[in-house]
Amino acid sequence: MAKRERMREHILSENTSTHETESTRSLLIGVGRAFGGALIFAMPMLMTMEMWSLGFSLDPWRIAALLIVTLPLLLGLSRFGGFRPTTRLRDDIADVFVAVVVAAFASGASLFLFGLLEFGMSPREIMGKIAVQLVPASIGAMLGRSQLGGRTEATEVQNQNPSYWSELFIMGVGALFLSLNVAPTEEMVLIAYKMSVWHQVTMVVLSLVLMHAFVYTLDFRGGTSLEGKSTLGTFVRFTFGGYAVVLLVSLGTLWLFGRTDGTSLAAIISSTVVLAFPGAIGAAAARLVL
Amino acid sequence: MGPSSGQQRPNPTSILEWAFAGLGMVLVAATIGYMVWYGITHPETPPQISVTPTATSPMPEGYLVEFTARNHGNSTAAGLLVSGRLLDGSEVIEESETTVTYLPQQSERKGGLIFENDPRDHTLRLLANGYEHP
Repeated sequence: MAKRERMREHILSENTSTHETESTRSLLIGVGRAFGGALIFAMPMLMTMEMWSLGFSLDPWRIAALLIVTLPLLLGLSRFGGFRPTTRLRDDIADVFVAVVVAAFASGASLFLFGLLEFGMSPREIMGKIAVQLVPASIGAMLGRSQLGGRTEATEVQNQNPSYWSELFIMGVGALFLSLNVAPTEEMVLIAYKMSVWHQVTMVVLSLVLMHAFVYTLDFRGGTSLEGKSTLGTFVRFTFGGYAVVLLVSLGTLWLFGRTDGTSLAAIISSTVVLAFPGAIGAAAARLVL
Repeated sequence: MGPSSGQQRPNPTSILEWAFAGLGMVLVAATIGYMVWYGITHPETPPQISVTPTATSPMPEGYLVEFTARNHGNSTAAGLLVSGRLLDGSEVIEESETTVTYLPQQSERKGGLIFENDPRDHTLRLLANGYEHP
């Protein structure tokens, strides 16, 4: 423990000296990485037709809600492995808003390049189209700055012993990210229609098994070893707990995109389960990637 | 600063970074503010659609009537069916139709209808026939 602490101090102090001399340069590099991350993460959604139409057809209240939810989410991401090792909340807040600016610029520029934003459009349409892209793009911007080369050993150290709640949080972000990719598409609803109840029950079981396997059994880099803890205990605490988070995220995403309006409870449950499948994979992968 | 100095000071936020961050705060606050304002001042009303012809021109085969469809209401019309008729008195000479995939609230979209007969020799009537709630 003491050794780890010393290593961390060593890395942090080295970081400080380089940053002090080239803080502007490193900020610009960071912004460049964030831009790359935003593009990588948001591109599938920038090129999804339903996302464009959601920009103008979505209730303005829900767009506002989406943005408000995004902020604490980004703040959490910044805490658990953002741009740089931060100890002060205001540094995290700065990182969040830098990510938002980069994300807004990356989405706006891409949409404009695709001919989807034109000068004659109402501000409501333009702002809406960019706003719905802000979630994936700013998550990407946040991760881009920390993942695409910027990962210092300090953040590794920081991530080594995450608390239970921060693990659940990271899983939620991973689930949200992958859910956002598919939730707006027609295919999501169609798949829910095509599946029988038995298909869906199988899907729930499979989601749980995959989540557990990804993190504890297949030994991916960054996966957690059980270290003598009981398998059943881990399964209940992390995999079930994580799946509960995934289901909530799926339901929230469906609500945001208006997929729950005027829909029967049975249909809502089945689309939640379908959306939770990519969500579960995203959640499991998030613990490895984020 | 040597590696053993052991000073645990993460790099603080620079002024330039705060400038970026400030821009972000303004952007987010403005968007949320705008959406909330829009939600309050524009309660959802059914689409109010007008279709107006903008130009008529001959094509290699037939005639093109370009139109602008405008939605003055506060909700989006999806799959909007636009039809045009050439009338001679009350007699329908020819009919043509097209679909506008999305016509957002307070926005306009352009399209064209193609006729065999010259629309300039007849009365042209453009209509929005129906839409779907997205």
